[in-house]
Amino acid sequence: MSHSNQFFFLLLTTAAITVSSYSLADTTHYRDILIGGRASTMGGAYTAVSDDAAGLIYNPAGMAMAPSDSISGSAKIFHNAETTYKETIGVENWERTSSNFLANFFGVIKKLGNHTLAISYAIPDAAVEHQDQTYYDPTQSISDYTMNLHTEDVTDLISLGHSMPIFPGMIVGNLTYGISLGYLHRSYISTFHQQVEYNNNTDYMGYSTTTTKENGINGKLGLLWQYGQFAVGVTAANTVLINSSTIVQTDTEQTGATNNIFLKGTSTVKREFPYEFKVGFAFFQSTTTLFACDFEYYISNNPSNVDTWNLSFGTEHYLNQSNSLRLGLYTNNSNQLSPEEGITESLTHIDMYGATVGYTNYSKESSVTLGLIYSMGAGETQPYDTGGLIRDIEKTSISVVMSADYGF
Amino acid sequence: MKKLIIMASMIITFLLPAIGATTTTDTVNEDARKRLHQLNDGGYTQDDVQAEIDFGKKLAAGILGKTTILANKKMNSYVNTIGSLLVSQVGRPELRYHFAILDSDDVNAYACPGGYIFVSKGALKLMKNEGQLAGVLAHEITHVNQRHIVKQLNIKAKDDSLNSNIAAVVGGGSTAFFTMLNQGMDLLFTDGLKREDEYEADAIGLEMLTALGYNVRSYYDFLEEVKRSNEQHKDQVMNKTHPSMDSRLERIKLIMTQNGLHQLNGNTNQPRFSKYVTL
Repeated sequence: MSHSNQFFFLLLTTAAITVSSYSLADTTHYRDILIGGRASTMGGAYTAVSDDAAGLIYNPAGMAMAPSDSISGSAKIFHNAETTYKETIGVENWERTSSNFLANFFGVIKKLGNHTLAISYAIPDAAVEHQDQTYYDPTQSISDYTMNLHTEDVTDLISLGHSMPIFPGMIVGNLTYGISLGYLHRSYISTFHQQVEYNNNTDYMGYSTTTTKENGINGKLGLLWQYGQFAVGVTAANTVLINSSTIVQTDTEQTGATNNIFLKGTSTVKREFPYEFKVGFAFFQSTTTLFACDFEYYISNNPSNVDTWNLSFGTEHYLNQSNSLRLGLYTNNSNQLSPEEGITESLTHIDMYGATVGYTNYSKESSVTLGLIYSMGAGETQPYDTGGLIRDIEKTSISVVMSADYGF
Repeated sequence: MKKLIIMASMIITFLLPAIGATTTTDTVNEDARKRLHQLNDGGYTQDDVQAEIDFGKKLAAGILGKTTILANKKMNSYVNTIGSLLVSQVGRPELRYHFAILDSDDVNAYACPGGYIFVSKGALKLMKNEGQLAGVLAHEITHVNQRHIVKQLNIKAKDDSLNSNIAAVVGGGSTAFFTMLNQGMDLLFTDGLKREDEYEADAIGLEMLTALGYNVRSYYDFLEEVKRSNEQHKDQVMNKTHPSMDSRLERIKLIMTQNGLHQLNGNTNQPRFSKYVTL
């Protein structure tokens, strides 16, 4: 094998490991999927609003402001994310696509006097990716390179919440408190197969699988203060994993090699989640217009991550009693540093920016929402574990949201 | 240090409800959050009224499941007569009102949507004249006329729209009626109506008494009697479901003074009251 062949072989082999550990439902961002029909189409600026079942996710204190019992459900009827690694397969781009249908939120609110109870099921992050790609003559020494990748990465969150007014009559305005406790389960399965045929009639084949199971507890505390048309919400949240299990199996075969390689590794190291703090402001200008914004700050608990923040703005405007429009803008910043030349850490840094639009039609007790969420970003990545080479990376994501709410 | 701050803030937040929570009927004022589609535009359809009547009928049945009607035809008939007199002037024409005495020593009165109104034997015992009875009935009729429970529980006819059917797929629509019934019972026996609704019922009730020539002061006197009774019997339902009697009396006094009602010498019809109410 020539030196260049060896180098590319190395790149491809290590790329396999990189792919296995980096899912499109990535752990480097915290707002990959916005939850709830109304909330998501306001760019997720919902910490000071939260007066429906989505409050369990955004700010449980807001649930005490819910006007009635309600049932909410929302789904991303189309979700597509594309990531392009520039000039990664030789001089060619490596493009990864994730498409799925997600019923990503279901929540119920029940008011019992001053107490508001809620339960929800949410999928805060998910990706299903399937790729069958062949590159012809990607380099001078390789005639073709084929990869088959299938990844399913789904995080489920079942939450219970309680909210109620506190200090009634003792302070100006209305103050409510809320708490949510959730069970989090993540299942990650990835299989990656690659085959390289060289111009000298030799070939290489690699196969790897990675499975990860994580179980944890998510806790969120919130306060919401409403004074006339203004509302301020704050939350603090953290997720603690109870257990984690990762199994990686790698099998490689190469023409002429004396030893084929089979490796199996397991890990029970638990990911550390950041402390999340949010503050949100809302201005209920009238019965037809609402403005809201959120600032989120994440304090990293993981040495490989850094502190990061996000900002979101949202507005809701009623066209008439039966129809309303919503708009939102949000950031989805990376929790990783930008990769540095010569330092190999397999870092990927993309700061994402998103825009949302939603339309809701209301009837007596129910409403149906259709929305569109688009986000995009560009950054840098080290797709290979060796060499520390840096490549540009671009990512876009689009979701069509549909939700239904029933109040009673 | 960072973890310490987080832990401390979590503990404080956990303790907040214990520090600040009360068992009163204080509720969050959501008015500023009202969205256009949630506004009650007054456009109740015939189906909505029927839904209100059906709901009220079942709620009344729930009350009668707890307490029976007093077995005294003459007295029930008298209360019905006074109630009918009031609604003939100020009632909602689409409703047929029903009045009855509950065989309960608890001092209270209840208004169910659709026009089902009850006054307890205990309340009648405290009354001294017809003006006081008329005042209590006028208060309860106002709850019905102003649709206080209807609005609070958003009682309307079944929504057969496409949206509703889509939402029904999400689930739960069929349980809504029974959930509302439970909430209605909670409003009457545990949580009470909104404070503003109680104050409004007092104020409009006074207008009714004035319009029909009753002595307005008699209603004030009755509430003072109830206050004394509530102080002696702390477990009375009214103590849980109504604003403090002091705040009600204060507001009534203000209304009477501002409108010169305290100077009117209306009827109390005490002899007629004594003839029919013999407890």
